[in-house]
Amino acid sequence: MNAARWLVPAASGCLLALALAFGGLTRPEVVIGWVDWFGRWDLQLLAFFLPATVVYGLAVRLARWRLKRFGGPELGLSTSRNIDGRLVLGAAIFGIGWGIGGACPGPALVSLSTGAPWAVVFVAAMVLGLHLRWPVAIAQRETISI
Amino acid sequence: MFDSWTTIAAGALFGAGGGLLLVGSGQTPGISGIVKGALSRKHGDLAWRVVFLLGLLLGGRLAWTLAPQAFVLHAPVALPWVLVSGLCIGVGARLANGCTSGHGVCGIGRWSPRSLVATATFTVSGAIAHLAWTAFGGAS
Repeated sequence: MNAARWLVPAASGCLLALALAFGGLTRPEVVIGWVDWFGRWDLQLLAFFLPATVVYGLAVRLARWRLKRFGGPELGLSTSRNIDGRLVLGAAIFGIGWGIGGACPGPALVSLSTGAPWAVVFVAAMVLGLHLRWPVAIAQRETISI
Repeated sequence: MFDSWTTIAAGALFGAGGGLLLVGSGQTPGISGIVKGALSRKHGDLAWRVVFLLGLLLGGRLAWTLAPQAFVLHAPVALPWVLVSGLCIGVGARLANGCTSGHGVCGIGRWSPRSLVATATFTVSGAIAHLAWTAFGGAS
């Protein structure tokens, strides 16, 4: 196992944490501000997201070009194109969590470094939620279609 | 404290940091997916997820040292609501196969229709949830 295999994910995680903190995303009021349409709507989240999507989009092109030119393992990009009830239901539930607490998975994990009790509670609940099987079973059994 | 140029630069850094993982390791930097995979042991690719999350914590520690004002130590809402919010985020990200980083940045960055739908959905449901939250007396 070579050094790059360890260094790349470590450096990536580190850069993402610094970006989230310096972009203000670790402050729940910034996340809430984006959905506070009827109060103090705040576009700081958008100012963070737009350059992030543009730069990441360029990286996707670079990764595809590299794969085509030099070969290598397939990229771990989702190939699913299915817009189904499970996706919409999941995103809607995600939004409810967002609107209440103003925390996303990334910023909450980064906030763990401060030892703040709310971050510990949030991450523990999020990990539990990610592993619960019954919401998936219900969403699939109902085969909600839109 | 956070001027818009800092936010824009930080956003670009987020895209670059995520792009590094894709170009260097061929993996999508979706936080909820990485967390889930790191703890479910079903994947054979456990190591990079753990290393990534350790990097995330290390970066958090570094940011906490450099700019403690970037963090909020008091709970944004009462702890039981933090718990409810975390559960919704976890269940929602599992069902939707992604969160703000996976759908919001990575998915939209490559114009995935699924991610556009997911991001629009959680933005609208977030706005409605926040409106309901404040209407029923929750602190803004």
